[in-house]
Amino acid sequence: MPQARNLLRFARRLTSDSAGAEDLVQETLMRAWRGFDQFRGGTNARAWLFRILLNTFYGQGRKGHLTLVPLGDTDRAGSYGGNTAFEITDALAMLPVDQRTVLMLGAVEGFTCREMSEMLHIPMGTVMSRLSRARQAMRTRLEMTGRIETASQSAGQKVYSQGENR
Amino acid sequence: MNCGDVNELAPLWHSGELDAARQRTFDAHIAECPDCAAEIREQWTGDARLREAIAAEPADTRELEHRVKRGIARERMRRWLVPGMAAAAVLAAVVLISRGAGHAPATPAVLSPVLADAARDHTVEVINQSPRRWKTEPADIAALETSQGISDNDVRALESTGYRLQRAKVCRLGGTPYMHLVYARAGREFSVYMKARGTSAAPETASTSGNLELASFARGRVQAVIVTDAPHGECAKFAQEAEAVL
Repeated sequence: MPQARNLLRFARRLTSDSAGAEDLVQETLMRAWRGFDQFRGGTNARAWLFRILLNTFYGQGRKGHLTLVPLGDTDRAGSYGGNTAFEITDALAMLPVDQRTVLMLGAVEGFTCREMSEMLHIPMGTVMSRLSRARQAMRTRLEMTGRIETASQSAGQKVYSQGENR
Repeated sequence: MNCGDVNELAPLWHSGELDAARQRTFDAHIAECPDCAAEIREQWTGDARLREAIAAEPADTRELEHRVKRGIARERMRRWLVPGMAAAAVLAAVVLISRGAGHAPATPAVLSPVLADAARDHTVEVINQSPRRWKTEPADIAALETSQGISDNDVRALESTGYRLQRAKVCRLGGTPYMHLVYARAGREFSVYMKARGTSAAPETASTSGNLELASFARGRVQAVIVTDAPHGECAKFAQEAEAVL
């Protein structure tokens, strides 16, 4: 099923555990199947799916969790510009849910600010400011670990190398 | 464009949503402002690292997709059995009925009192055609509707689906008055028991009772029970069409 992985990775940012995320995606796909006749051809099917997921999540009266249970299989060793993948997803998990949501939708899933505005039912300006704050907060958090590769650091000055565990 | 503008518009720059004019002035500013250029570059590389980290995260969706496919198959089956009622819980009650020779009144074992009475009433009044005072004139039927608080529009709406109203009377199902309407299509007769919907609607159900098929649902202003001895699937088809127009 196209998008199932993307939906699952996004759902993990909303729910507190993997099982809850899978349930959320399952319900999203079932709702999409039931409501497929309401989908207007020519419109953005990805945005439609993510909107269903968000509506499903918030329609259940749930609120985004501030932190996530770390995923056991997460690649802790892989280096992504000086930080491990775990450090990066960990920093993401520490963001407030509204910032985390727009960063996932915008930076990872590639939705435009206008699409996010429609998806989340919030003004464009709010999307933009949340995105800016999220990007800044991520950088600050990763810098605090002392492991970010800043623009001033050359490749040879990396504090941590690939393969290092947290 | 100054540094504050660049900071504010950066999200639109990343998503490619700046119009041509603002894109030009934005690019011109960061070409001349090292601080803004560094800031934008940091944001860009931060996004790229986040994408890579998320992409590296295991996401095995096979079991999840399997569950969705099973769920869809179940709902398809449900829709096939009771078209139009798929979204609601559909209860299929398998009822063992002891029936005498011919079409003796059924003795329901499991059906709710309303459905049991409807099955019995249809058998006696429609199949066995025991003499009853049916109303067949539109004015008389309209008077019955008024007495039961049922709109003539709802009664006639069913005719728009190709079923012709033949006759009507008032009966009691489970101790409650219902209007018993008999519609016909293609030589088959269908009983529709209708009453004005109260505050609490009975759940949608689909049942079989011997050779009879029954469906019960609440739609718009009415609670309806449909009973027929037509071949399998006809009751569900009628229920689907009734739900669409009521």
